[in-house]
Amino acid sequence: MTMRGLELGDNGRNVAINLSSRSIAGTDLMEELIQAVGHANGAAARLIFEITETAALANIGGAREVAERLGRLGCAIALDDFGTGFASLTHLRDLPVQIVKIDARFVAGVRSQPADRALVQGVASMARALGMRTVAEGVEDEATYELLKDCDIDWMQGYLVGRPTPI
Amino acid sequence: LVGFENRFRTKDGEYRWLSWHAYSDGDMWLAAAADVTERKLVTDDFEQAIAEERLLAYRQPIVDWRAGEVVHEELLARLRGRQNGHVLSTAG
Repeated sequence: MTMRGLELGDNGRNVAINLSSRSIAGTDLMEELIQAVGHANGAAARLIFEITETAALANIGGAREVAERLGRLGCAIALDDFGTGFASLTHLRDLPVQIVKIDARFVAGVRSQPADRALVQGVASMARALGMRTVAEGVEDEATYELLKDCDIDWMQGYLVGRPTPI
Repeated sequence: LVGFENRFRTKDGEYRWLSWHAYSDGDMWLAAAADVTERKLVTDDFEQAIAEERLLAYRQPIVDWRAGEVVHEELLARLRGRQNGHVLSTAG
């Protein structure tokens, strides 16, 4: 996994990897992962681990521990699907997160729902005040893309900017 | 600076992988090795799963619109026949 990440990373980009609640709870797997990251010289700084809000919710203590250990190795942590869990603000405060990924269902409403636009804008400004970067997930059309720029979102992800391609 | 990995058999018949880094100042070579067996096993499992198509892996870019460039590649993976999953959840 780490080697695969390194190969992808050779183009100078960072690599983001999802952690599910099952992988966070699987102690052996996490130990292996943390060791692998520690062994791969220079790889840690280019790795981002994404923890979904629901995974964090299922095991907040485990999520925090994993995030802190990976953070100490130099990896960045992203909070994925932000806004879909309960107590989203608590997660933002309690997890050592550098990147907030706003869930696609809020992004989808930016064009037609003033409430969704206000929420996305609010999350973007809150994240900035906390020194975090924001990603809009599920960006699928130009109009949404333009509105997200106005909301001061940092980064975009979705079919409009790049489809998933098989490795 | 050159780097390579190779496999050694130990006295008790086990294989260990060593990662070598060697450096030359023109006259002399200096070399150091680290045992990377555990990392190698994790990597090989993952790559084998992809090769056998038990694991379907994708990547998707994350774009910085101000700079107009891809800043990250997200890795996504799912087990064949399953709705959704991610790289590490499938290994768990």
